[in-house]
Amino acid sequence: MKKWQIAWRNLMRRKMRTFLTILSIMIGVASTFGVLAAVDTAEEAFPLYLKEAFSKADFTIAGTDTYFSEDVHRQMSESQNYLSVAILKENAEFVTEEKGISAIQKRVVITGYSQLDTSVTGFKVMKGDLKADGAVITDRTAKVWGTDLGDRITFDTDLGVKEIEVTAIVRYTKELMGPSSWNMAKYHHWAVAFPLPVVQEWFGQQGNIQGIQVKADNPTQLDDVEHELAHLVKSHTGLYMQPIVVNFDSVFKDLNTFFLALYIAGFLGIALSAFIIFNSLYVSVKERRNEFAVLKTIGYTPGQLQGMVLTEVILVAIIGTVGGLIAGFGLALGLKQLIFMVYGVQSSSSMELGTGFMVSAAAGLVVPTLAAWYPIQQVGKVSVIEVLKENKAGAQGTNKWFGLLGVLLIFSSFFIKHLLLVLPLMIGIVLLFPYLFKLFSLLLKGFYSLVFKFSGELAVRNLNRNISRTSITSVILSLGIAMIVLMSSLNSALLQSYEREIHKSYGGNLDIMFHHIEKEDLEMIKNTEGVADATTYSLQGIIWNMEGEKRLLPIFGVGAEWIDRFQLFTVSSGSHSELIKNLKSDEIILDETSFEVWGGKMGDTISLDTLEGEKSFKVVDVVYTMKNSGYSAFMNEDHFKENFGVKFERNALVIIDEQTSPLQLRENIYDRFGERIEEMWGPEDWASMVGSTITGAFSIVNVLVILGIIVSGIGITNTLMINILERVREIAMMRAVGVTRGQIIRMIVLEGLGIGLSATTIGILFGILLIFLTSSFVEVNSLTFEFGVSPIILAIIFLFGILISLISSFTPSRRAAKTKLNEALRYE
Amino acid sequence: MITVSNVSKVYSLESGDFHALQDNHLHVRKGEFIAIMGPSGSGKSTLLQLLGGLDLPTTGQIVVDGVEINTLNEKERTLFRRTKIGFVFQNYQLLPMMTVEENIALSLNANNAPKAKSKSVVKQLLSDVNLQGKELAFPSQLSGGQQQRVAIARALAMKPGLILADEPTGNLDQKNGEDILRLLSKLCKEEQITVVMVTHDRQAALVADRIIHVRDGFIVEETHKGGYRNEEMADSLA
Ligand SMILES: Nc1ncnc2c1ncn2[C@@H]1O[C@H](COP(=O)(O)OP(=O)(O)O)[C@@H](O)[C@H]1O
Ligand SMILES: [Mg+2]
Repeated sequence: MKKWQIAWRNLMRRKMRTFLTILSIMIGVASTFGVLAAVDTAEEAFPLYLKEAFSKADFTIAGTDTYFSEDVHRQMSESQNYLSVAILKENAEFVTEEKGISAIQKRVVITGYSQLDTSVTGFKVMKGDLKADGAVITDRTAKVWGTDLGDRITFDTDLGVKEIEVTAIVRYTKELMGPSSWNMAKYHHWAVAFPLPVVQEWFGQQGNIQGIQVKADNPTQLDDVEHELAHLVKSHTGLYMQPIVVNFDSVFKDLNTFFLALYIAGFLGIALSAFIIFNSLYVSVKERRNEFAVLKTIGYTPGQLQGMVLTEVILVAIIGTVGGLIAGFGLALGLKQLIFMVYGVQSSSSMELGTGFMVSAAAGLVVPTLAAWYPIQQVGKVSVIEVLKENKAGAQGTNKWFGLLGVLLIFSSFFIKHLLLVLPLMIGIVLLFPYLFKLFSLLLKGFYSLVFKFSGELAVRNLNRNISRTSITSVILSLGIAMIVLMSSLNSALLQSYEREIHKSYGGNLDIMFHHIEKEDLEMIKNTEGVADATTYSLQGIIWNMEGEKRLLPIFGVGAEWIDRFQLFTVSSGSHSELIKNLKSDEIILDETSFEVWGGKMGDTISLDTLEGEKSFKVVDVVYTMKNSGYSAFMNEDHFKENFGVKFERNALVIIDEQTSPLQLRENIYDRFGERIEEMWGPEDWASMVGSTITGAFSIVNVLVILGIIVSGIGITNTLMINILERVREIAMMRAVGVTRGQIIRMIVLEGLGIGLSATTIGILFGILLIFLTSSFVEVNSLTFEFGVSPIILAIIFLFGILISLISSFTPSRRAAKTKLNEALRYE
Repeated sequence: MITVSNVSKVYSLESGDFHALQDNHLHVRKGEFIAIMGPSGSGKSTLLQLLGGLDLPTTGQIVVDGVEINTLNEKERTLFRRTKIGFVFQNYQLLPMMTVEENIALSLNANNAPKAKSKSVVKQLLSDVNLQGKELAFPSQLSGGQQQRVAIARALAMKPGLILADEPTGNLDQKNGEDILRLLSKLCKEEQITVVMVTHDRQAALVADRIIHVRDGFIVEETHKGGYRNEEMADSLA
């Protein structure tokens, strides 16, 4: 026990440094724990959530015409091994007293369900009753509409104004996806659920439905149910059945890159604390050389001395790890929320803490011990004679082999085509840093003596006196800066590429999805004010059979006569229309994302569910598109309709004329077609939606990196504190011979600033190198980004680095100014 | 040059107040060479600190060169030290990362003196202390005696009227010690600089015009050159 007491007492002799060391271990452990737990939770929860959000049902039955008879559903209801719900969707306009709301913002899709309280809809009731025969709305909609349970809501339909009571408010769900504000309603319609008979009556569709959703009672019975449904569908004309499949790839495509970036940021946290521990211990050991020498003369063995220091390290590590795990739990919760928010996932799933806890606890205990290894070796080497000799003040040597190894590591990272190249590059920079710092200090010297004169000259000299300490401190900050440069540039580069690509392959300025399209509609669209040109097209999700697994592939039916004007994809060579014209009935074009997911070769075939069962289609080309965020296929429209029994088109592409704004165009279209419009999306909506996801994801990584930069701020404070403690007598002498407090403060602040300047400058250069290296291979959504650096981002980061170093110098400089002058006259 | 009246210095320690100096009087004329002697811990350095304005007396008044030090604020005292007083320390206290030239010019630079001017001043000072040509050497390349001479040159850079030296020969061998004493003595005689030097060494004290003996915080006696002692002298000069 006594051993621990001595260790504790030694730690308490330098409270500030011990505190900072513990704090840095805490931050390292917390960031590791937080990242691992949050990512594990997300990886676990996302697929489950998707399954829940998009495929509560297992199969859907639809007709080749807009409506089919309710009797089909009546026949099914007898069945014992599955649940079925009939559905009818209609459009209406919400009647509200809210001022300044245009017609377009009042669009509502009303879905009638034959039964509202089933697992097919999975509504989670917050207030009211699903069996009460009234309207069901989400809490989000209720809030914007200012509607509560029992209120009556009014809708304008083709058959007049109708009214209904709200009898249930449910938690926001994908089934009733709607805008979060009146403003967002310009882009997306509202959604409410009614009992089926009410919708049939309101819209004059008695006896008609649009679809049936089917869910097997038991997952093991899926095959039986599929058989039964196939049989049923065959006995009716104009009906078809599709399994509901979720495509994780298409929804969360960039997730893995994002998670990797998070991991690297978390790793940075623990690496930073390792540096700080190394730094404090190294200095602490140097400081106590006399003490160790004395202990040796009275008979302590090197092993005993090392044991003593090791005990201190372990004590600090335990305290820091425990604290870090607690803080990390909080961080994990916060990160999880952020990640879920960014990806629009709602889930009440529990946290996956196991792995994160174990890894970070182990790291918190092992990393400090490893970082302490070298300093502890030094303890054993303290030589009595050397200490008793006069301490020669010469510059410390830097190890040339380390520098060489650093160059090799940096060089080797040029050949790694993976984000993990960050690791050898980082280690290389760390090893090379003392040399880089020496170079930089030449510049700094000129700058400082010119601008700051006396204090500046002193500061540069002081930084060079302890070059290894200075560079370790500086490299910590520099790594954080490099990471943030990479992340920010990646972010803005991706945003720009996305935006450009979305516009290039959107097929126009507006994509309108109608409830259904009638013959005269295309002419009407073309005659609408603000429309320069228009076309209609067909789009349908088709079941793709892949090695026993079913996926949903959205296929566009493309017309050779319009594709050159409405480009839905980009081709590498030749014209769009030639490509489409030459397609045979069993030929298909994939986009890059689906091609990659598939993993096959050009000329191979894929198997799709057609009206006549499974059929092979030959992949004849790969094109690039960002339409619906990529992941789709293209066929000649005639062949498409033939093969899949698609009788009607629901989408129209519009090219805007030059004088009209996108919003004005929407208003004009809506005035013409009213409730028949389900959705209208322009490329700018996609760009902003995708953009906010990307920016959100990057902000999370940046939060972690900024945490790292704050840790390095602690490192700067730590180093400056050590510097002034070492130089107490010197500072006192300077004060004695007439150097003012202000000059001393300036000197210390300039030392901190020098560390900050070198770290930000070298870090930014290193960051640019990282961008250059990663830009050759990093792909998000099959989009590579071009090498480019925004000077504004760099300027902001530079200022941020400088600010951190100035803040970190504040306390040490005040402490230095308070140095007691009589220290100058004290000699041991 | 210096008038010390009723000066006491009390350090507050955890174990209670410690009276390092108690109700002392002292008068030093311009151009005088004073040696302060006394056992270790008797308050010699404390007295020197008070004379140099490094610290303030708990009670009493100190006037140096017509300026009452107690009434100056922190900044004024710093500038006072910079321009009016030169310090010489036992362990030289040269900045290891700076050249001899830069060390000597420390207070000149702190005062933002033009480079050309400080260069010529340093050159003159180096020849005064007999270290011509050592401008670009680093302190670690010099012997102890040479380092102390650099320190004296540094103390002289602003042409102060008073040099305060705390055991300047304490770390030196006899020969080098004598060189330093001769240098200080010469400055005193030729430049009319007042020197107050703390020393342990009876031999060293003999170069002084007057020796002040301190014991347990009291100035107990004075010895004048020529062996004349007068214990009441200090009081009567107040
Ligand atoms: N800053 C201080 N705080 C407390 N005690 C001090 C301080 N400086 C000096 N002393 C005490 O005052 C006494 C006189 O010290 P000093 O003037 O340095 O003696 P010396 O005659 O050896 O130079 C000593 O006992 C010393 O311990
Ligand atoms: Mg003393």
